[in-house]
Order: sequence, then C-alpha cells, then structure tokens
Amino acid sequence: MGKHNFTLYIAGQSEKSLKAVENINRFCIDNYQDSFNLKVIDIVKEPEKAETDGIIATPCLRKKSPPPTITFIGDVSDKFSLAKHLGIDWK
Amino acid sequence: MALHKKRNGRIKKIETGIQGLDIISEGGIPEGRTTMVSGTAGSAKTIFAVQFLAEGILKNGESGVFITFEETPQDIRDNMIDFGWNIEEWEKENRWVFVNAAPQWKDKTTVVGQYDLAGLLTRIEYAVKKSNARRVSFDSLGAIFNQFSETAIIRHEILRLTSALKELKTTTLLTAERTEDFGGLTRYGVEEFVTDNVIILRNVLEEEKRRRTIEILKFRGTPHQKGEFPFTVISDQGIVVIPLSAIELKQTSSNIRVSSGNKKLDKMCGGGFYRDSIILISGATGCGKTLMTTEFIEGGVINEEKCLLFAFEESREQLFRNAMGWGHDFEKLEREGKLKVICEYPEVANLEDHLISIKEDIEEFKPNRVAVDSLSALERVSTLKSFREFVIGLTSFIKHQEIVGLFTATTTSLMGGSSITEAHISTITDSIILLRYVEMFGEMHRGVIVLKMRGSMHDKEIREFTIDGTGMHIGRPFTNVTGIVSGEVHHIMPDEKERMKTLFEEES
Repeated sequence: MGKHNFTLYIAGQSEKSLKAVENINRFCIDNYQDSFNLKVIDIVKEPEKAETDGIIATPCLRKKSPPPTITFIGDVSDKFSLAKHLGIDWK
Repeated sequence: MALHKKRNGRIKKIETGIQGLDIISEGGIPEGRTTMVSGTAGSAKTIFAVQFLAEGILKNGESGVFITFEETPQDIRDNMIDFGWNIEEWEKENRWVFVNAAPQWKDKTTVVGQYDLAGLLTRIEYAVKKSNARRVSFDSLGAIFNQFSETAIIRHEILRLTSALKELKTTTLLTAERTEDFGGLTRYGVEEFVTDNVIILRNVLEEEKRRRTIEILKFRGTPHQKGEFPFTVISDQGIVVIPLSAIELKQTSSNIRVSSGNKKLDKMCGGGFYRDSIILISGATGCGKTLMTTEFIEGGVINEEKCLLFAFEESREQLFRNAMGWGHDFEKLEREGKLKVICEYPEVANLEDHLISIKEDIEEFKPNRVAVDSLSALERVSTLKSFREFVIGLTSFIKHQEIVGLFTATTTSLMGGSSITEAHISTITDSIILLRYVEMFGEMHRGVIVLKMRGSMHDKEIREFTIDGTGMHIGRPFTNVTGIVSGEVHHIMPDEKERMKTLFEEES
C-alpha cells in the first residue's frame, strides 16, 4: 500500500482550523504511522486554490490517494466516522 | 447618467439598468444592501441575476461577482450570450468574476465535525476585492441546502455572508426558489430573514397562456410602485419590465387638427382629428375599417407626414392590393420613405413582446401617424388582463410621442354591439367612430357615426356611406331609422305604409 495523501483546507487560523489540523495529524500518526502526507492549505492566504478546488465549507479534508478520492468536512472531531469511511477498523 | 439618485430618506438606490424596473422601483434597488428575487422554476431568476451584473458593467462601468450554486459558469456563459452579454470577455477584463459554488465533486462528502462556510465567504471576499466589484449576485442561494443538511449551520452562515457583503459595501442580489407562484416566499424559508427587500417574479399560466409579472413586495424605508407589472424576456435585451400604471399621462393636448384622409369625415369630426389623439374605429368585419385606415394614411402622406401601419389581420400582399384597388400605391410610398407597413401574425409573440417591438418600431421610424389594424386580432393571443395592459401601455406610449394614433376594433356581431377591445379602450381613446351595417328593406347599407370626440363639437348624426373603387363616400344621415348602434333597427318612416304598398304592387 502506497502513501496516504491528504489535503486539508482551512480558512484562517480559527479555532475550528486549529482543531482540524491537530485532529487529522493525530489521526494519521495513529493509523498510518509515517506512511502519509498531509498538506494544509490556508485559503485565506491562497484564495485561488479555494476557487480552483471548489471549496465551500471549511475545514475540508480530501483524501486523494489511494483512490478513490473521499471528501470530508468538519474539524475531524468525529474520528469514528472518518475511520469508517477510510476503511480503518477503529480500535 | 444619474447613477445614484438620492431619494427621500437616507437609503440611496442604485439603478439596476433593467428596462422599466428602475421606473417601478422608483430609482432602482437599495444601494449597499441585499435584495431577494424570489420566483418559481422558470420565472427568469437567473436572467435577472445575470442582467443585474451585466447592466452594471455596460451602463455604469461597475464590475460584478456572480456566485452560482446550480449551473456551472460555462452553462451561464453559453445561455446568456443570446442576450448580448459576453461574460467571457468581461471575465478577461476582470469586470466579471465567477464564484462557482455548484457541487463540483462526484464523490459524496461526509461530515466529521464542526464546519462553517468560511471557504465560500473567503472566495467571495477575494473575488469582490480582486475585481473591485460593486454588484454581487447569488443564484440561487437556497440550492446550498442540497449540499449541506445542517440547516441551522447554513442559516447562521447565510447571515454571516450577508453581513460580510454589507461591510464590502456591495449591492447584492439573492435569487430564491419558491414552489408556488402564490404561496410561501421561498422554499427553505431562510433567505427572507437576511433581507428587507423582496422582489417577486411570477410566471403564471392563465387561460393556457403564460404571463410573466414582477412585483416589488417590500423595500425597507424607501418608496416603490406597488402591485404586479408585466414583463417579458427578449433576446438582445433580457428582461424588459412594462411599467404600466407608472406611466404619467402628462401629454399636452394640442389644438392642431389633422385630416382623417376623408373630407366628409373631417367635417363630421368638427374639422379633423386632433394631432395627438387616439382614435378608435369599431365595426363588424368588412364594413370599411381597413379602408378608413388606408385613407388615414393617405391623408397623412398628402400632409407630408410619415405613417406607420401595423397590420395584424392581413398579409402584406393583400393589404397592398386592397390599397391599390382604392387608388393608393403603398409600395411607392414605402420606397419614398413616407410609409412603413409592418405585417405580423399576432401569434408570433406574446402581447408584451408585441408592445415592445411596436414601441421600438415607432421610436425608429418616428412617424407622425400610427395605425393598428386591428387591435382585436391581438386579443386572440392574450388573456383579458394582458390585453388591457397592452392597450393602456400602447395608447399612453403613442400619446407621449405626440402623434396621432388610429386603432381598429372588430365587433363580434355583424349588426351592432361592442367589441372587447372597445370595452377596454373606450375611456382611453379621444375619439370613437362606429361603422355599422344597417339593414333596410332587404338591403345592407353602411352607417358611420362619430360617437365621441374629446374636446370638440362633432356631428351627432348617423350617416350613410358607400364604398367604391375610389374609396369611402359619406352621404346623408339616416333620418328614418333608429337602433342602428345597438343593431336593432326600427324604421320610423312616416310614409312607410305607402312605400310598402308600392313594393307589394311591384311583386304581384
């Protein structure tokens, strides 16, 4: 299995943004150890990216590989649901 | 160009540029605020939203941001090109910026925690700043509820969105879908909480015909015209509102008389028609209305006046042949630029479109005389309400131009009675001339009477007239019959008995 590539879109350094970064980071470390990439895009700084990627709700997490692409919105506090959709047995 | 008119109170308005809307809204929509445009599917909401930005670009040099929730930007570019709005070109010039909020991902999104719409807000703010936009359109905001199911969050976010736009000082238009033309304002019942200004578009099916209307339901703290106004959507222009009751009847009535084209008729009218008046000619089919129209045009041409004829009943060939039969060469007059004949089937368009094209033709040709033959033909393609509005709109427009207008109306029964046209127009027209068939002793005669002639003495008698190859000949009054106008003719000839006797003698 190749690396897990995630992109997290946040809008500024809000409470939700910071929480989302922390939550997904923890989740990836717990589940993928070091075989993951997490790219964080702050759309306040890079609004063009939000436009081209069609971001409406934030925080927004997209798993791009391995396929299929899956999109999540929210601050990733619901790890159970995230794990279920990523096909991970939640311990 | 008066762009930002200051009206009573502190609320300024911004002219939308949509034809007619700025009249009924008394100067446009409130500047720096959010106005909701609500309507059912197919009520022209998207066109409205696009046109609001397009007119800003074209007329005021103001750039705009368009946020689309359902259609893709490419769909909108393609669909709007027919109206003459080259969005792609404006995008290149940074005068139009799309924010595409339509669902772009095929995959389903899953909610895993708290979220908000800061992403969308950020994009809108960025687009507004980038293009220095003064106008923003959302089409249609409610569709966002299809993407997100947490209505409480969305409600809150929509509020945040509108207040952010207030800060950016843009004038914002929000389209909202409603399920019925008369019912709840919006499907989700959310949009109306964020705005004090509501415009409603309707597209009602009435007597098998579609009728579009626009109504300004409320504008907080600033006046506007009340009630529904018809509008139409036409290529090259978009939405055109017909501001009927808002038209002021302030035309000066002149005392200058012009010839009707028939000397005897002039005499009956007390010296001809007034130059800026509307004359209605009513009569049964075949009793001479088209001939009177022809003579009316000839009378104008002799007077060096330009004439415009709208014919809705006969083809061009037929019309020209008839005129030729009475010795008038319409083809030659057209070549010389003295006359323009526009023949159209009433069915080719709805009445609102007819009204607009008639107005355009009048503005372009600048005639001194306008004739419409016949108004009744237009009744066929409309509801009674639309027809009424059409007649009012047309007469007030013609009066504004200070030209003389002659309309014909066909009565349904041969002998008398009134037409629907007559019923709706008689109080608006300055003169009414009735043409009637009169049955006398087994023969059909024709009678003419000037029923009404505003501001003038006129002949009160019903005169007999005949038609031959040289036109219409008005003769002596019918002195021995009554009931011609109502169609119930009674002979009151004193020597009637005598005459009857001779008739019977001839027969035996």
